[in-house]
Amino acid sequence: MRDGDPTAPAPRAETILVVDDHDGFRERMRRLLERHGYRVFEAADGAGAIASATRRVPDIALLDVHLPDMDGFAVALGLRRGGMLGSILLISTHTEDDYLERIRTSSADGFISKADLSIETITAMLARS
Amino acid sequence: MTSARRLLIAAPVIVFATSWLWIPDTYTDALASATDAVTGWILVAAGLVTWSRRRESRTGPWLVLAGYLWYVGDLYFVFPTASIVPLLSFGLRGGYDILLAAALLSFPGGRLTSHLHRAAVAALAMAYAARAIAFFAVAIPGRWYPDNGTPNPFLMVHDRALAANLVLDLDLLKGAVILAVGLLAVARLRSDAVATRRVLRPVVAGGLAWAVMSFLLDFGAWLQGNFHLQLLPWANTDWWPIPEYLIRGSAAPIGFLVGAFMLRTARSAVVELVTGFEQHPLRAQLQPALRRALGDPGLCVLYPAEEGAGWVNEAGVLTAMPDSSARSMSTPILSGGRTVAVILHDTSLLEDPGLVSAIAATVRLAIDNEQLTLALEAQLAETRASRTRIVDAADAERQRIERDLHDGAQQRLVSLAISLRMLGDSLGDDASKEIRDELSAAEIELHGAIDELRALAHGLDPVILRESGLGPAVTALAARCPTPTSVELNLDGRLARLVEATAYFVVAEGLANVTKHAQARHVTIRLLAGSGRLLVEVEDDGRGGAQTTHGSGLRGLADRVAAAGGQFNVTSLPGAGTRLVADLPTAQ
Repeated sequence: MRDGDPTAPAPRAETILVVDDHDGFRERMRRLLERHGYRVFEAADGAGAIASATRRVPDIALLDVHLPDMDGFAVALGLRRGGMLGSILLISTHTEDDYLERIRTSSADGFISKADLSIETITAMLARS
Repeated sequence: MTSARRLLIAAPVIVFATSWLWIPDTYTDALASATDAVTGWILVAAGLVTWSRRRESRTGPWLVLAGYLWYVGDLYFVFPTASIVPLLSFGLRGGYDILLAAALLSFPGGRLTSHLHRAAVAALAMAYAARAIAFFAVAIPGRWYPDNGTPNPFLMVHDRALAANLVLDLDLLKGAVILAVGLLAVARLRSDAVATRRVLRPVVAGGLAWAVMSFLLDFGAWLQGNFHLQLLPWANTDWWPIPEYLIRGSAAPIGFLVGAFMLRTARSAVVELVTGFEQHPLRAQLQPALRRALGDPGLCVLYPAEEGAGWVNEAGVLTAMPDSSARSMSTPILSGGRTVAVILHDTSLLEDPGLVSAIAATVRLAIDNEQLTLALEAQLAETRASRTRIVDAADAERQRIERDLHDGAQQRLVSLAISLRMLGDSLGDDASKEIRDELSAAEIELHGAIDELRALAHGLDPVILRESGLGPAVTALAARCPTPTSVELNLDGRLARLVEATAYFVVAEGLANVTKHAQARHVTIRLLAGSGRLLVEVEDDGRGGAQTTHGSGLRGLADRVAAAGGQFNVTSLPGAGTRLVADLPTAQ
């Protein structure tokens, strides 16, 4: 899917784990991603995300930095330790500049500000990672 | 009594001594004459100095009176032809010895405290009186004193040998009593309190010389059976009268004069006490300062224990109150009707009640001052703590608002942006251009709102400061500043949250002021940490003249820096740029 038309459905159904504690945001992300051919499963906190990934390792993970029980950086590390090899993208209402150093040293592959979230920015970031 | 009145009392003897010095041919030896005159002056001077330093003491007036009596023996030389003046002059000479003895045994307090001392002085007075009476009864003009043609109206005994023996015996008795007085004075040195001993030494030294010489002269005369013959082999040499005069007459007055000058006045002791304090007179300094000021190395200051009975020293250690003794006693210091301290001191202090009052007042002031200082420091500490709590509470509130914005409005707006985008995707090419344009405008407006909200939240509680620390946060601030900005960092790891936040807001406010007011071409930010301090500087080359008055952002910064225990300084002369400096303690 990342070659050619970026808005075209994925040739095969990649699994994507969306981790965010805001139900409305997760719901919209699920609909957006499913519309573009991803198979989405969700978690509302860090512990749920790691447990979910243990049962089924996702191809991609979208992790909100600010979670109730732990931050997205810790969840990314947990996912890597759980054997996840796919792309991990951090998302936040804050900007990349706010987390600059931590992003650089984290287990995640990239960062997208929530204000800029779209299927285009996600696929572009995945292509870079 | 004022100094002027005391001088007035002493004036006649000074005038007399001065005038008699200039009477020609009355005293052939000019040096002996001068010594004789000056001795009286010294006695008067010693009396005046003692009088001024120990107003309540009788020693001063006694010494002045002794100065008068000193010249009784010289009356003959001044009035050689006047009736019975030569008889009186020779018969009554030596009366000052009684006053010298009394002064020697009572200096500087003026009280003969021992029965032995009183008995010695009384014995001397009686010996003197007996000798004078005997002299008047036996003195034949021209033989016992110069004859001016006036017969001795009191002459009763004409047996020359009996008369000579009687007077010589009484002279010897008087000399022996004087010697006893000298020895009693030496004994005072051994028994009196430390502070008194210091001033007594020169007095006793002079007094002992006077006593020994008096005795030797009288003993010599008695041994030889002749007034004019003396025991000492060199007594008839030309030079002897001078040392004889000096030792017999001047040694004691000189000793008194030196001792009188060594007496501390209440004022000088208080001055010494106050200047002995370093800055605030605190308890730790009180005892050594008092010891120095009063010359009493054994002095102690005790304070009532806070809990229950008992006394504590300056270190707060419970200490037993020593019993008063012959040499030491306690003086309570009262303030507001309660005892705030007790001074254990040498009994000699009581000889000068003025000194005790002055010292007590000074100590009371020092203790009150210390209590006020401690109360003020406690209030200041509470004010600082209160200000820090206010800043902490404000910071916590800013964090809460930032979190609420992040979790609430920002999330909703972000979700709304995704919905709009999905709506646009759903409409695809089917929607009219008008709808697509409207949708696009709504998305742009929404992103503007999200950015503004994020900037607002960032200003409240910068995430980068929380996440990455002061260096990256300040570097990010500098990067966003429209004026070219260089950053010099010398930081070693993270600092306390309050310190980082304070430093960050100093830089943020400084850069905001540069952007709004300074018209600068360049800004330099310096963050230097070390030795438990963090130095924050924001310096621009703009137009200067920044206002630091109440209500300005800089005033608020100063308050914030003070709340963090630091100091804030603004240098902003017109045309010379602006330099903000915050000096913050990092050991919180």
